[in-house]
Amino acid sequence: MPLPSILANKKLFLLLACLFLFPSQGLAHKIRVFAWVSGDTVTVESGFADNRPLIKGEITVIDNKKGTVLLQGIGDENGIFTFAVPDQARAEASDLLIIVSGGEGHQNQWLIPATEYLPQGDGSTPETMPSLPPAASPASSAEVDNSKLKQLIAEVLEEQLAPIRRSLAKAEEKKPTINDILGGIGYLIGLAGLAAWLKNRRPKGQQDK
Amino acid sequence: MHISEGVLTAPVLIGGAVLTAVGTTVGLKKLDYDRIMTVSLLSAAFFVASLIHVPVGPGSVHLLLGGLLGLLLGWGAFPAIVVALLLQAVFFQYGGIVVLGVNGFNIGGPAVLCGLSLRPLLKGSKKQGMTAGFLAGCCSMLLSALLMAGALFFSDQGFLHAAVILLTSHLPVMLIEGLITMFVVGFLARVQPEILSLDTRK
Repeated sequence: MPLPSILANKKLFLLLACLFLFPSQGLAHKIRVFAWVSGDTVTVESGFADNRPLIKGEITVIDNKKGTVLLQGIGDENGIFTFAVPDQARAEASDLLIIVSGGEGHQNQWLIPATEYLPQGDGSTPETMPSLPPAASPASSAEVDNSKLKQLIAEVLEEQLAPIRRSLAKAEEKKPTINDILGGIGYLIGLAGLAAWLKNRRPKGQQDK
Repeated sequence: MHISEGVLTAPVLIGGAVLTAVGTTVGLKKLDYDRIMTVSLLSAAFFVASLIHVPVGPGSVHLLLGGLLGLLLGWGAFPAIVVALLLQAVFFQYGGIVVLGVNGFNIGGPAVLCGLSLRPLLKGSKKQGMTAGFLAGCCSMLLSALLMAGALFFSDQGFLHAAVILLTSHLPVMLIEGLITMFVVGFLARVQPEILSLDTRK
């Protein structure tokens, strides 16, 4: 068998060991997308997993309900692309699916649920709330102020939270770990073992007949 | 070198899957079971090689070692590459399960083609062997890039744009890949000549 002879050969073993040690450099071959909403604008940041920005990536925003393309654009040198939430999407409260393509077959996507860009609780309550008690003026003004305040707080919070969410997204990005690599190699050697076993089993089966 | 999920259209995906299924079947049929461990080790090398990336311009490219597998394994490179690609898709999210067929053919096809056509050179002098190694590494990557551009073209992703990006960004790595394949072949010729010659009896 070639395996023991390969392992016995120190030079070849070193060569293979070098191949296996290289991955500590990490990967840069998957596009990482992150998008966040602040007020009315959506900012899309795209880059490679090793934190280099994706320069001039093609960005497509799709209405996730109907599948129609809402807008298209090209990111800048820092991998940043900003756009205003399209009125069409706002009117229909549809989720925005942002697809970033690197132009060489690499792409990734990020979904912005409608709840992220619509004012909090926009569905039906806020529109009816101010119109319901038009008579009681002090109470209604207090409520309007409350809802304005809420909106303001939400906006400020969103601004403050954006960087945190960004680093969270980065932290969640799955990088190949040594476990993945060793697991994969284990699979391959296991498969070889399986194939060898199947091969060796065959003559015995024939003998049984 | 891996096309992501969701880029290609259904006909391209199906075509790639059919071609890869054929290639894998032929590869498994022609596989010499005494060499199963070599196939597995080279498959592992291919699996890991994609993590070695070279930053080029706006993107980055990585080693493939397809040419090396083709040279050493012949048709056996096809199943080795497909299995490694499957594991890469599962573990690293490189490529994907649905595009496995297209990626498998894009990388496996050129590897087998270059390997089979250049292998006779391995029997020759040391220089010829090294040349075969360099050409196998270089050409398999070039053909893979062209096939990728073709797959993107048939999915209306703009052939010219993609082809220019792919070819220019892969030029340096083609050279690196060629050199690495050349040195590995030269090295094997010196220390483990049986690995190079075992399969040539077929």
